[in-house]
Amino acid sequence: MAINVTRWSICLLVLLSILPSVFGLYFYLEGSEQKCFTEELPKETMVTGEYTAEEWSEEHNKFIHNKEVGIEVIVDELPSGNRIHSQKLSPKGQFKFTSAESGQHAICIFTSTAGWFSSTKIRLNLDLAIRDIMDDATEASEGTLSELAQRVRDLNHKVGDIRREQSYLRDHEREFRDKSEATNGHTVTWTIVQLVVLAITCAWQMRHLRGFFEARKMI
Amino acid sequence: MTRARNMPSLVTTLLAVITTAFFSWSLLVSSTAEATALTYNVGAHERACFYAWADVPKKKLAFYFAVQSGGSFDIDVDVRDPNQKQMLSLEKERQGDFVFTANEIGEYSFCFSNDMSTFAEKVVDFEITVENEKRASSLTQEEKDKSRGPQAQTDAMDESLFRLTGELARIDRMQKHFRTRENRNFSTVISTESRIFWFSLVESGLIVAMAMVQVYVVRTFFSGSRRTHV
Repeated sequence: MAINVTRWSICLLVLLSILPSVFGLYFYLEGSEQKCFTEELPKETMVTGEYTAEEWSEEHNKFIHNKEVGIEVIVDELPSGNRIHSQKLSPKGQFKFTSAESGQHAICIFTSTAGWFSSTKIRLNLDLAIRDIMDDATEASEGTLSELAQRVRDLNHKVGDIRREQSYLRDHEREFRDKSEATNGHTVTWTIVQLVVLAITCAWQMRHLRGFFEARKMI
Repeated sequence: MTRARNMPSLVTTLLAVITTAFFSWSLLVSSTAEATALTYNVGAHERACFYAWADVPKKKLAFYFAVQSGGSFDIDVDVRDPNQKQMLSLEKERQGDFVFTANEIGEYSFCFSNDMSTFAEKVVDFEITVENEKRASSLTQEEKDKSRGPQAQTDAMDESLFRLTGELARIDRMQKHFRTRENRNFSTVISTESRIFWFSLVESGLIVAMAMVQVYVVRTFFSGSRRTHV
């Protein structure tokens, strides 16, 4: 009985130690591979990313937390290619940046310690939040939150996300409407251009043929 | 004699209690659902995989994806359970919204594969949520004391928060659906504009070329050795 309990608890401990540090979405980075994510951001919005990086260790045969691993994050504005944020970070932590212009941004993450030929495999847990997480930290420090308060806070964040998405859709729809009307105008423009070309060609053809036949004295 | 025998069993019991306490604490502290939404650019012939961990059986994994731009707005999807058994395999799908019950503990993989495109990059918007079971009593004893209200009120608030969360999630999904459609519409309008321009140019060119060919043919009819046939 005692041996079974020991075995069970040791199994549980081993299982817990190989679990990802944060339950959530994760992916693997091989060597100096870069993974990029795009986000549509409004002007001057703060984005916080929380991540945990673990390195595959051959001797332990599992993913371990290695302090030597360096993670680098770069953020580019997509249409112009401007780099608005570049940061080298420790294996576990968070990064923040503020978008300057509204538009598509590419957030790229890769390991900065891996050389060209190294075969380190990194497991990266990532959570991106388009808001300032500092607010959560300052409020939480005022005392442990009850679960209901935490859920209300999560709902507030979700409503903020919905509002942001709505204003993005509104701007995008305005652009779409402008483009639709421009295309409609161009249909008329190019048809008129075609008619003009047709008329000119007709006139030239008639004139040329008349000249040709008059020269041959057939008209 | 009895003391020596009790010592190892005490240690093991303590160990069991510590591990159980740690495990239940981590369950209690985790939120009701953890969702991560990301937008990833899958290059041509690229296979990109993302993973989620189910630590307890019977957890629900919700997976949503929608192709935002690129080619014909479709992608191949492959979802596998910890034993590499295929849970979902889709080819050339535009979007999908699925809920899986994670029967086994382990790593579930969600892979997007863009093998069908020679050069088109696909932008895929996806969200993976790990949902915990709604616990019967979600407040600990101290929180119940802290709330300073009758139990019925707290339960009612809990219930309405749960409904609010559900409704907001539906609004969020609907918005994502509209965003995907809007992107597609935008792409159609850009394509229409480009088509109008190029086809008009080609038609004008054709008109001019045809006029010249006609004039040339008429000239050859009336000149040279064919004069006798006219």
